Amino acid sequence: MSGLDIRIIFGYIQDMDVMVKFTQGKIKPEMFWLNGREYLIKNIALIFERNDGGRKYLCFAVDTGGMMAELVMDKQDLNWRITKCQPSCTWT
Amino acid sequence: MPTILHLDMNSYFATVEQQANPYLRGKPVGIIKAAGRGCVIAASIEAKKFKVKTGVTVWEAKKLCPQIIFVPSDMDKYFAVTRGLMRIISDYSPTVEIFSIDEMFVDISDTQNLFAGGALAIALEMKQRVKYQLGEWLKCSVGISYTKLLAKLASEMDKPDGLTFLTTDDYLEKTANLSVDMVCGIGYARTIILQSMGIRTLGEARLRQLPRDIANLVWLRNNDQLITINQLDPAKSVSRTYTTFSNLNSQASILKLIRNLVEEVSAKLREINMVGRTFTLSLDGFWARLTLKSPTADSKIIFDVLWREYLKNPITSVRQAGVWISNLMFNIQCPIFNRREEVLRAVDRLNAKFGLFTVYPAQLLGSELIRPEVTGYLGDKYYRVLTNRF
Repeated sequence: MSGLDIRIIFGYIQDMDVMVKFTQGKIKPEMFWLNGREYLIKNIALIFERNDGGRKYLCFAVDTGGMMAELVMDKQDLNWRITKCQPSCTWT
Repeated sequence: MPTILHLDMNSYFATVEQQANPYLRGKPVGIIKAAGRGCVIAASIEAKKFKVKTGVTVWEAKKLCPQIIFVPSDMDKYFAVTRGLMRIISDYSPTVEIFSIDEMFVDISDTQNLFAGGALAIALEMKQRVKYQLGEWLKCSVGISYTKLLAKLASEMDKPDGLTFLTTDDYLEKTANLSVDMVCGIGYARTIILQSMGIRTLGEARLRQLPRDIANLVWLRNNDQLITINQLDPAKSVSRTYTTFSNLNSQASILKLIRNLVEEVSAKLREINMVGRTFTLSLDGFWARLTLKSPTADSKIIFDVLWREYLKNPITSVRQAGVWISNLMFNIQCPIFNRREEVLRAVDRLNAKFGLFTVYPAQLLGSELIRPEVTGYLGDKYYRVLTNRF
Protein backbone atom coordinates (compact mmCIF):
# COMPACT_ATOMS: atom_id res chain seq x y z
CA MET A 1 0.00 0.00 0.00
CA SER A 2 1.36 3.43 -0.75
CA GLY A 3 0.22 6.88 0.35
CA LEU A 4 -0.39 8.83 -2.81
CA ASP A 5 -1.66 12.32 -3.42
CA ILE A 6 -5.00 12.23 -5.15
CA ARG A 7 -6.70 15.26 -6.60
CA ILE A 8 -10.42 15.16 -6.90
CA ILE A 9 -12.13 16.89 -9.75
CA PHE A 10 -14.72 18.45 -7.41
CA GLY A 11 -12.22 21.19 -6.64
CA TYR A 12 -10.46 20.11 -3.46
CA ILE A 13 -7.37 18.10 -2.90
CA GLN A 14 -7.18 15.14 -0.61
CA ASP A 15 -4.65 12.61 0.47
CA MET A 16 -5.63 9.18 -0.52
CA ASP A 17 -4.26 5.71 -0.39
CA VAL A 18 -4.44 3.32 -3.26
CA MET A 19 -3.66 -0.34 -2.93
CA VAL A 20 -2.41 -1.88 -6.14
CA LYS A 21 -1.47 -5.35 -7.21
CA PHE A 22 1.32 -6.08 -9.64
CA THR A 23 0.54 -9.19 -11.58
CA GLN A 24 2.00 -10.58 -14.79
CA GLY A 25 3.77 -7.31 -15.50
CA LYS A 26 0.58 -5.33 -15.09
CA ILE A 27 -0.64 -2.95 -12.42
CA LYS A 28 -4.13 -3.32 -11.06
CA PRO A 29 -5.73 -1.11 -8.40
CA GLU A 30 -7.51 -3.20 -5.80
CA MET A 31 -8.76 -0.73 -3.22
CA PHE A 32 -8.62 2.96 -2.41
CA TRP A 33 -9.45 5.23 0.49
CA LEU A 34 -11.22 8.53 -0.08
CA ASN A 35 -12.83 10.95 2.39
CA GLY A 36 -12.09 8.50 5.19
CA ARG A 37 -13.95 5.76 3.39
CA GLU A 38 -12.66 2.54 2.02
CA TYR A 39 -13.63 1.57 -1.51
CA LEU A 40 -13.08 -1.94 -2.74
CA ILE A 41 -12.77 -2.10 -6.50
CA LYS A 42 -15.21 -4.72 -7.65
CA ASN A 43 -14.57 -4.45 -11.34
CA ILE A 44 -12.19 -2.69 -13.69
CA ALA A 45 -14.33 -2.16 -16.74
CA LEU A 46 -11.75 -0.57 -19.03
CA ILE A 47 -8.07 0.22 -18.95
CA PHE A 48 -6.73 2.82 -21.36
CA GLU A 49 -4.08 5.45 -21.75
CA ARG A 50 -4.35 9.20 -22.08
CA ASN A 51 -1.61 11.53 -23.27
CA ASP A 52 -1.18 15.14 -22.36
CA GLY A 53 1.95 16.58 -23.84
CA GLY A 54 4.81 14.24 -23.07
CA ARG A 55 3.02 12.80 -20.05
CA LYS A 56 1.19 9.54 -20.19
CA TYR A 57 -1.59 8.55 -17.86
CA LEU A 58 -2.89 5.07 -17.29
CA CYS A 59 -6.64 5.22 -16.66
CA PHE A 60 -8.81 2.62 -14.98
CA ALA A 61 -12.59 2.85 -15.24
CA VAL A 62 -13.47 1.26 -11.91
CA ASP A 63 -16.70 0.16 -10.30
CA THR A 64 -16.86 0.01 -6.52
CA GLY A 65 -20.44 -1.14 -6.39
CA GLY A 66 -21.69 2.25 -5.20
CA MET A 67 -19.56 4.52 -7.32
CA MET A 68 -18.08 4.59 -10.81
CA ALA A 69 -14.85 6.51 -11.18
CA GLU A 70 -11.79 6.87 -13.31
CA LEU A 71 -8.56 6.27 -11.44
CA VAL A 72 -5.69 7.94 -13.26
CA MET A 73 -2.05 7.08 -12.69
CA ASP A 74 0.63 9.45 -13.96
CA LYS A 75 3.22 7.10 -15.43
CA GLN A 76 6.00 9.59 -14.80
CA ASP A 77 5.67 10.25 -11.09
CA LEU A 78 3.19 7.49 -10.16
CA ASN A 79 0.75 10.02 -8.72
CA TRP A 80 -2.85 8.91 -8.69
CA ARG A 81 -5.91 11.06 -9.33
CA ILE A 82 -9.55 10.26 -9.33
CA THR A 83 -11.87 11.82 -11.87
CA LYS A 84 -15.36 11.39 -13.25
CA CYS A 85 -16.80 10.11 -9.98
CA GLN A 86 -20.46 9.31 -10.24
CA PRO A 87 -22.92 7.19 -8.37
CA SER A 88 -23.51 3.72 -9.72
CA CYS A 89 -26.78 4.65 -11.25
CA THR A 90 -27.27 6.30 -14.57
CA TRP A 91 -28.35 9.85 -14.95
CA THR A 92 -30.57 11.37 -17.56
CA MET B 1 -7.93 -14.53 -55.57
CA PRO B 2 -7.39 -12.24 -52.57
CA THR B 3 -9.20 -12.70 -49.28
CA ILE B 4 -10.17 -9.46 -47.59
CA LEU B 5 -11.54 -9.27 -44.08
CA HIS B 6 -13.41 -6.21 -42.89
CA LEU B 7 -13.87 -5.62 -39.19
CA ASP B 8 -16.39 -3.06 -38.01
CA MET B 9 -16.97 -2.25 -34.36
CA ASN B 10 -20.67 -1.93 -33.59
CA SER B 11 -21.92 1.46 -32.33
CA TYR B 12 -18.34 2.13 -31.38
CA PHE B 13 -18.32 5.27 -29.22
CA ALA B 14 -21.48 4.28 -27.35
CA THR B 15 -20.29 0.71 -26.80
CA VAL B 16 -16.93 1.88 -25.44
CA GLU B 17 -18.79 4.12 -22.98
CA GLN B 18 -20.99 1.17 -22.01
CA GLN B 19 -17.86 -0.92 -21.54
CA ALA B 20 -16.31 1.74 -19.29
CA ASN B 21 -19.51 2.21 -17.31
CA PRO B 22 -21.34 -1.10 -16.81
CA TYR B 23 -24.44 0.74 -15.55
CA LEU B 24 -25.02 2.08 -19.06
CA ARG B 25 -25.13 -1.39 -20.58
CA GLY B 26 -28.41 -2.42 -22.10
CA LYS B 27 -29.69 1.16 -21.94
CA PRO B 28 -30.14 3.60 -24.81
CA VAL B 29 -27.08 5.85 -24.88
CA GLY B 30 -26.41 8.83 -27.11
CA ILE B 31 -22.91 10.23 -27.39
CA ILE B 32 -22.78 14.00 -27.69
CA LYS B 33 -19.70 16.05 -28.45
CA ALA B 34 -19.74 17.87 -25.13
CA ALA B 35 -22.23 18.78 -22.45
CA GLY B 36 -24.57 21.41 -23.85
CA ARG B 37 -24.04 20.38 -27.48
CA GLY B 38 -27.08 19.79 -29.59
CA CYS B 39 -26.25 16.82 -31.77
CA VAL B 40 -25.90 13.07 -31.22
CA ILE B 41 -22.64 11.86 -32.78
CA ALA B 42 -23.17 8.18 -32.00
CA ALA B 43 -26.00 6.05 -30.67
CA SER B 44 -25.91 2.74 -28.87
CA ILE B 45 -27.50 -0.40 -30.29
CA GLU B 46 -30.40 0.05 -27.85
CA ALA B 47 -30.90 3.69 -28.90
CA LYS B 48 -30.86 2.71 -32.58
CA LYS B 49 -33.93 0.56 -31.93
CA PHE B 50 -35.76 3.82 -31.17
CA LYS B 51 -34.50 5.23 -34.50
CA VAL B 52 -31.97 7.49 -32.82
CA LYS B 53 -29.21 7.91 -35.40
CA THR B 54 -26.00 9.84 -35.76
CA GLY B 55 -26.79 13.45 -36.52
CA VAL B 56 -30.17 13.78 -34.82
CA THR B 57 -30.50 16.67 -32.41
CA VAL B 58 -30.65 16.07 -28.68
CA TRP B 59 -34.20 17.35 -28.75
CA GLU B 60 -35.24 14.88 -31.46
CA ALA B 61 -33.44 12.04 -29.68
CA LYS B 62 -35.32 12.83 -26.46
CA LYS B 63 -38.57 12.80 -28.38
CA LEU B 64 -37.81 9.46 -30.02
CA CYS B 65 -36.48 7.89 -26.85
CA PRO B 66 -37.34 9.76 -23.62
CA GLN B 67 -35.17 7.49 -21.48
CA ILE B 68 -32.01 8.06 -23.55
CA ILE B 69 -28.83 8.83 -21.59
CA PHE B 70 -26.49 11.40 -23.09
CA VAL B 71 -22.77 10.95 -22.50
CA PRO B 72 -20.12 13.47 -23.60
CA SER B 73 -17.57 11.97 -25.99
CA ASP B 74 -14.10 11.04 -24.80
CA MET B 75 -11.86 10.63 -27.86
CA ASP B 76 -8.81 9.58 -25.81
CA LYS B 77 -10.76 6.58 -24.62
CA TYR B 78 -11.87 5.64 -28.14
CA PHE B 79 -8.39 6.00 -29.58
CA ALA B 80 -6.98 3.86 -26.78
CA VAL B 81 -9.43 1.08 -27.66
CA THR B 82 -8.60 1.52 -31.37
CA ARG B 83 -4.91 1.10 -30.52
CA GLY B 84 -5.78 -2.17 -28.79
CA LEU B 85 -7.80 -3.21 -31.82
CA MET B 86 -4.89 -2.43 -34.13
CA ARG B 87 -2.60 -4.57 -31.99
CA ILE B 88 -4.99 -7.50 -32.30
CA ILE B 89 -5.52 -7.08 -36.05
CA SER B 90 -1.83 -6.75 -36.84
CA ASP B 91 -1.26 -10.24 -35.40
CA TYR B 92 -3.09 -11.70 -38.39
CA SER B 93 -1.61 -9.84 -41.34
CA PRO B 94 0.94 -7.14 -42.08
CA THR B 95 -1.38 -5.60 -44.70
CA VAL B 96 -3.95 -3.57 -42.81
CA GLU B 97 -5.92 -0.53 -43.88
CA ILE B 98 -7.26 1.61 -41.07
CA PHE B 99 -10.43 2.81 -42.74
CA SER B 100 -11.68 4.84 -39.80
CA ILE B 101 -11.49 4.81 -36.03
CA ASP B 102 -13.63 1.67 -35.81
CA GLU B 103 -13.19 -0.02 -39.19
CA MET B 104 -10.27 -1.93 -40.61
CA PHE B 105 -9.56 -3.96 -43.72
CA VAL B 106 -7.13 -6.83 -43.45
CA ASP B 107 -5.65 -8.71 -46.39
CA ILE B 108 -5.44 -12.30 -45.19
CA SER B 109 -4.85 -13.85 -48.63
CA ASP B 110 -1.50 -15.35 -47.61
CA THR B 111 -1.67 -15.43 -43.83
CA GLN B 112 -4.89 -17.46 -43.73
CA ASN B 113 -2.80 -20.48 -44.68
CA LEU B 114 -0.98 -20.17 -41.36
CA PHE B 115 -4.16 -20.79 -39.40
CA ALA B 116 -5.91 -24.11 -39.24
CA GLY B 117 -9.41 -23.26 -40.35
CA GLY B 118 -8.31 -20.41 -42.60
CA ALA B 119 -10.23 -17.16 -42.83
CA LEU B 120 -13.12 -18.38 -40.68
CA ALA B 121 -10.77 -19.34 -37.85
CA ILE B 122 -9.06 -15.93 -38.08
CA ALA B 123 -12.39 -14.10 -37.94
CA LEU B 124 -13.64 -16.10 -34.97
CA GLU B 125 -10.38 -15.68 -33.09
CA MET B 126 -10.39 -11.93 -33.78
CA LYS B 127 -13.92 -11.60 -32.45
CA GLN B 128 -13.02 -13.60 -29.37
CA ARG B 129 -9.89 -11.56 -28.71
CA VAL B 130 -11.79 -8.28 -29.10
CA LYS B 131 -14.17 -9.44 -26.36
CA TYR B 132 -11.50 -10.91 -24.14
CA GLN B 133 -8.77 -8.28 -24.47
CA LEU B 134 -10.70 -5.07 -25.09
CA GLY B 135 -13.90 -5.67 -23.17
CA GLU B 136 -16.76 -8.10 -22.96
CA TRP B 137 -19.31 -5.52 -24.09
CA LEU B 138 -17.41 -4.59 -27.25
CA LYS B 139 -18.81 -6.33 -30.27
CA CYS B 140 -17.65 -6.34 -33.85
CA SER B 141 -19.07 -7.48 -37.16
CA VAL B 142 -16.76 -9.22 -39.58
CA GLY B 143 -17.21 -9.59 -43.30
CA ILE B 144 -15.01 -11.75 -45.50
CA SER B 145 -14.89 -11.68 -49.27
CA TYR B 146 -12.52 -11.14 -52.15
CA THR B 147 -12.82 -7.36 -52.56
CA LYS B 148 -12.93 -4.50 -50.13
CA LEU B 149 -16.39 -3.44 -51.28
CA LEU B 150 -17.84 -6.92 -50.76
CA ALA B 151 -16.06 -7.43 -47.42
CA LYS B 152 -17.48 -4.14 -46.14
CA LEU B 153 -20.94 -4.99 -47.37
CA ALA B 154 -20.68 -8.43 -45.77
CA SER B 155 -19.87 -6.90 -42.38
CA GLU B 156 -22.89 -4.58 -42.74
CA MET B 157 -25.20 -7.50 -43.48
CA ASP B 158 -25.19 -9.01 -40.01
CA LYS B 159 -25.08 -6.50 -37.18
CA PRO B 160 -24.31 -6.56 -34.33
CA ASP B 161 -21.70 -9.20 -33.66
CA GLY B 162 -22.07 -10.96 -37.02
CA LEU B 163 -19.79 -12.90 -39.29
CA THR B 164 -20.62 -13.09 -43.00
CA PHE B 165 -18.89 -14.70 -45.97
CA LEU B 166 -19.55 -13.58 -49.51
CA THR B 167 -18.07 -15.83 -52.16
CA THR B 168 -17.84 -15.40 -55.93
CA ASP B 169 -20.71 -17.87 -56.38
CA ASP B 170 -23.24 -16.45 -53.96
CA TYR B 171 -22.57 -12.74 -53.53
CA LEU B 172 -25.12 -11.57 -56.13
CA GLU B 173 -27.85 -13.76 -54.70
CA LYS B 174 -27.12 -12.93 -51.06
CA THR B 175 -27.05 -9.19 -51.68
CA ALA B 176 -30.11 -8.96 -53.97
CA ASN B 177 -32.48 -7.92 -51.19
CA LEU B 178 -30.17 -5.40 -49.54
CA SER B 179 -31.04 -1.72 -49.57
CA VAL B 180 -28.97 0.21 -52.12
CA ASP B 181 -27.62 2.64 -49.51
CA MET B 182 -25.82 -0.19 -47.73
CA VAL B 183 -23.16 -0.24 -50.45
CA CYS B 184 -20.13 1.90 -49.65
CA GLY B 185 -20.13 4.55 -52.37
CA ILE B 186 -23.89 4.88 -52.72
CA GLY B 187 -24.45 7.83 -50.47
CA TYR B 188 -27.29 10.23 -49.94
CA ALA B 189 -27.28 11.78 -53.44
CA ARG B 190 -27.08 8.48 -55.32
CA THR B 191 -29.73 6.92 -53.09
CA ILE B 192 -32.08 9.79 -53.95
CA ILE B 193 -31.42 9.24 -57.67
CA LEU B 194 -32.13 5.52 -57.37
CA GLN B 195 -35.21 6.02 -55.21
CA SER B 196 -36.59 8.51 -57.72
CA MET B 197 -36.36 5.68 -60.27
CA GLY B 198 -38.35 3.45 -57.91
CA ILE B 199 -35.29 1.39 -56.96
CA ARG B 200 -34.91 0.32 -53.35
CA THR B 201 -32.84 -2.87 -53.41
CA LEU B 202 -29.72 -4.00 -55.23
CA GLY B 203 -31.75 -6.71 -56.97
CA GLU B 204 -34.11 -4.07 -58.41
CA ALA B 205 -31.20 -1.88 -59.43
CA ARG B 206 -29.54 -4.73 -61.33
CA LEU B 207 -32.58 -5.01 -63.58
CA ARG B 208 -32.23 -1.42 -64.74
CA GLN B 209 -29.90 0.51 -67.03
CA LEU B 210 -27.85 2.82 -64.80
CA PRO B 211 -24.92 5.22 -65.21
CA ARG B 212 -21.65 3.29 -65.29
CA ASP B 213 -20.29 4.42 -61.91
CA ILE B 214 -23.53 3.52 -60.13
CA ALA B 215 -23.87 0.25 -62.10
CA ASN B 216 -20.39 -0.81 -60.98
CA LEU B 217 -21.42 -0.30 -57.37
CA VAL B 218 -24.78 -1.99 -57.82
CA TRP B 219 -23.11 -5.03 -59.42
CA LEU B 220 -20.40 -4.80 -56.73
CA ARG B 221 -17.67 -4.71 -59.37
CA ASN B 222 -15.51 -2.14 -57.62
CA ASN B 223 -12.16 -3.67 -56.75
CA ASP B 224 -10.05 -1.08 -54.91
CA GLN B 225 -6.81 -2.22 -53.38
CA LEU B 226 -6.02 -1.88 -49.71
CA ILE B 227 -4.33 1.40 -48.89
CA THR B 228 -1.81 0.84 -46.15
CA ILE B 229 -0.31 3.71 -44.20
CA ASN B 230 2.77 3.87 -46.42
CA GLN B 231 0.64 4.27 -49.53
CA LEU B 232 -1.42 7.21 -48.33
CA ASP B 233 -1.00 10.54 -50.07
CA PRO B 234 0.14 13.59 -48.12
CA ALA B 235 -2.55 16.02 -46.97
CA LYS B 236 -4.13 18.34 -49.54
CA SER B 237 -5.66 20.71 -47.03
CA VAL B 238 -5.90 21.25 -43.30
CA SER B 239 -8.94 22.77 -41.66
CA ARG B 240 -10.82 23.33 -38.46
CA THR B 241 -14.40 24.39 -37.95
CA TYR B 242 -16.11 25.24 -34.71
CA THR B 243 -19.61 26.03 -33.53
CA THR B 244 -19.84 28.19 -30.43
CA PHE B 245 -22.33 27.63 -27.65
CA SER B 246 -23.89 31.05 -28.18
CA ASN B 247 -23.67 33.88 -30.70
CA LEU B 248 -20.50 35.96 -30.65
CA ASN B 249 -21.57 39.57 -30.85
CA SER B 250 -18.31 41.44 -30.44
CA GLN B 251 -15.36 41.71 -32.80
CA ALA B 252 -13.02 40.95 -29.90
CA SER B 253 -14.59 37.56 -29.28
CA ILE B 254 -14.63 36.76 -33.02
CA LEU B 255 -10.96 37.74 -33.21
CA LYS B 256 -10.13 35.32 -30.42
CA LEU B 257 -12.09 32.53 -32.03
CA ILE B 258 -10.40 32.97 -35.41
CA ARG B 259 -6.97 33.27 -33.80
CA ASN B 260 -7.59 30.09 -31.83
CA LEU B 261 -8.61 28.15 -34.94
CA VAL B 262 -5.66 29.54 -36.93
CA GLU B 263 -3.28 28.50 -34.14
CA GLU B 264 -4.60 24.96 -34.23
CA VAL B 265 -4.52 24.62 -38.00
CA SER B 266 -1.04 26.11 -38.39
CA ALA B 267 0.34 23.96 -35.55
CA LYS B 268 -1.02 20.91 -37.35
CA LEU B 269 0.59 22.11 -40.56
CA ARG B 270 3.96 22.50 -38.85
CA GLU B 271 3.58 19.10 -37.26
CA ILE B 272 3.24 17.45 -40.65
CA ASN B 273 6.09 19.64 -41.94
CA MET B 274 4.00 21.39 -44.56
CA VAL B 275 3.22 24.95 -45.55
CA GLY B 276 0.23 26.40 -47.37
CA ARG B 277 -0.54 29.25 -49.73
CA THR B 278 -4.31 29.51 -49.82
CA PHE B 279 -6.20 30.54 -46.71
CA THR B 280 -9.95 30.48 -46.30
CA LEU B 281 -12.11 31.89 -43.54
CA SER B 282 -15.75 31.13 -43.14
CA LEU B 283 -18.08 32.71 -40.61
CA ASP B 284 -21.85 32.32 -40.57
CA GLY B 285 -22.67 34.59 -43.49
CA PHE B 286 -19.14 35.48 -44.47
CA TRP B 287 -16.58 33.77 -46.65
CA ALA B 288 -13.12 34.89 -47.78
CA ARG B 289 -10.26 33.20 -49.59
CA LEU B 290 -6.81 34.54 -50.31
CA THR B 291 -3.73 33.05 -51.93
CA LEU B 292 -0.28 34.34 -51.04
CA LYS B 293 2.82 34.20 -53.24
CA SER B 294 4.98 32.45 -50.71
CA PRO B 295 3.73 29.56 -48.61
CA THR B 296 3.75 29.72 -44.83
CA ALA B 297 2.76 27.88 -41.68
CA ASP B 298 3.15 30.92 -39.46
CA SER B 299 -0.05 31.46 -37.51
CA LYS B 300 0.54 35.20 -37.19
CA ILE B 301 0.82 35.73 -40.95
CA ILE B 302 -2.21 33.54 -41.63
CA PHE B 303 -4.26 35.28 -38.96
CA ASP B 304 -3.27 38.77 -40.20
CA VAL B 305 -4.31 37.86 -43.74
CA LEU B 306 -7.67 36.45 -42.67
CA TRP B 307 -8.37 39.20 -40.17
CA ARG B 308 -7.76 41.88 -42.82
CA GLU B 309 -10.26 40.10 -45.03
CA TYR B 310 -12.74 39.94 -42.17
CA LEU B 311 -12.42 43.66 -41.45
CA LYS B 312 -13.58 44.43 -44.99
CA ASN B 313 -16.95 43.06 -43.95
CA PRO B 314 -16.95 42.83 -40.15
CA ILE B 315 -20.07 40.84 -39.43
CA THR B 316 -21.10 39.98 -35.88
CA SER B 317 -23.55 37.54 -34.37
CA VAL B 318 -21.44 34.58 -35.37
CA ARG B 319 -21.89 30.98 -34.25
CA GLN B 320 -19.96 28.97 -36.80
CA ALA B 321 -16.38 29.58 -37.86
CA GLY B 322 -13.97 27.65 -40.03
CA VAL B 323 -10.40 28.07 -41.21
CA TRP B 324 -8.96 26.14 -44.18
CA ILE B 325 -5.41 26.05 -45.49
CA SER B 326 -4.87 24.53 -48.89
CA ASN B 327 -2.34 24.57 -51.73
CA LEU B 328 -0.05 22.62 -49.43
CA MET B 329 3.55 21.66 -50.06
CA PHE B 330 6.31 20.18 -47.99
CA ASN B 331 8.37 22.69 -46.08
CA ILE B 332 11.85 21.99 -47.42
CA GLN B 333 13.33 25.49 -47.46
CA CYS B 334 15.23 26.45 -44.34
CA PRO B 335 15.00 30.12 -43.43
CA ILE B 336 18.38 31.77 -42.90
CA PHE B 337 17.44 35.26 -41.79
CA ASN B 338 13.99 34.73 -40.40
CA ARG B 339 14.27 33.22 -36.92
CA ARG B 340 10.53 33.21 -36.33
CA GLU B 341 10.16 29.70 -37.62
CA GLU B 342 12.58 28.53 -34.95
CA VAL B 343 10.48 30.28 -32.32
CA LEU B 344 7.36 28.55 -33.60
CA ARG B 345 9.09 25.16 -33.57
CA ALA B 346 10.23 25.82 -29.99
CA VAL B 347 6.64 26.67 -28.99
CA ASP B 348 5.41 23.48 -30.66
CA ARG B 349 8.00 21.42 -28.81
CA LEU B 350 7.06 23.04 -25.48
CA ASN B 351 3.38 22.31 -26.06
CA ALA B 352 4.18 18.77 -27.09
CA LYS B 353 6.23 18.18 -23.97
CA PHE B 354 4.22 19.99 -21.31
CA GLY B 355 0.73 19.80 -22.76
CA LEU B 356 -1.55 21.83 -24.95
CA PHE B 357 -1.66 25.61 -24.49
CA THR B 358 1.42 25.70 -22.28
CA VAL B 359 2.52 28.54 -24.55
CA TYR B 360 -0.02 30.40 -26.68
CA PRO B 361 -0.52 33.88 -28.15
CA ALA B 362 -1.30 36.65 -25.68
CA GLN B 363 -4.24 37.57 -27.90
CA LEU B 364 -6.01 34.50 -26.55
CA LEU B 365 -5.50 35.40 -22.89
CA GLY B 366 -8.72 35.46 -20.94
CA SER B 367 -10.70 33.54 -23.51
CA GLU B 368 -11.90 29.99 -23.37
CA LEU B 369 -9.40 27.92 -25.33
CA ILE B 370 -10.69 25.50 -27.92
CA ARG B 371 -8.89 22.18 -27.87
CA PRO B 372 -7.88 20.48 -31.10
CA GLU B 373 -10.48 18.11 -32.38
CA VAL B 374 -10.24 14.63 -33.76
CA THR B 375 -13.04 13.02 -35.67
CA GLY B 376 -13.75 9.36 -36.17
CA TYR B 377 -13.02 9.55 -39.89
CA LEU B 378 -9.33 10.02 -39.23
CA GLY B 379 -8.53 12.22 -42.20
CA ASP B 380 -5.07 12.65 -40.70
CA LYS B 381 -4.45 8.98 -39.92
CA TYR B 382 -1.27 8.97 -42.00
CA TYR B 383 0.36 11.48 -39.67
CA ARG B 384 -1.26 10.15 -36.54
CA VAL B 385 0.21 6.70 -37.09
CA LEU B 386 3.58 7.92 -38.30
CA THR B 387 4.03 10.33 -35.41
CA ASN B 388 2.73 7.83 -32.88
CA ARG B 389 -0.13 10.12 -31.90
CA PHE B 390 -2.63 7.42 -32.58
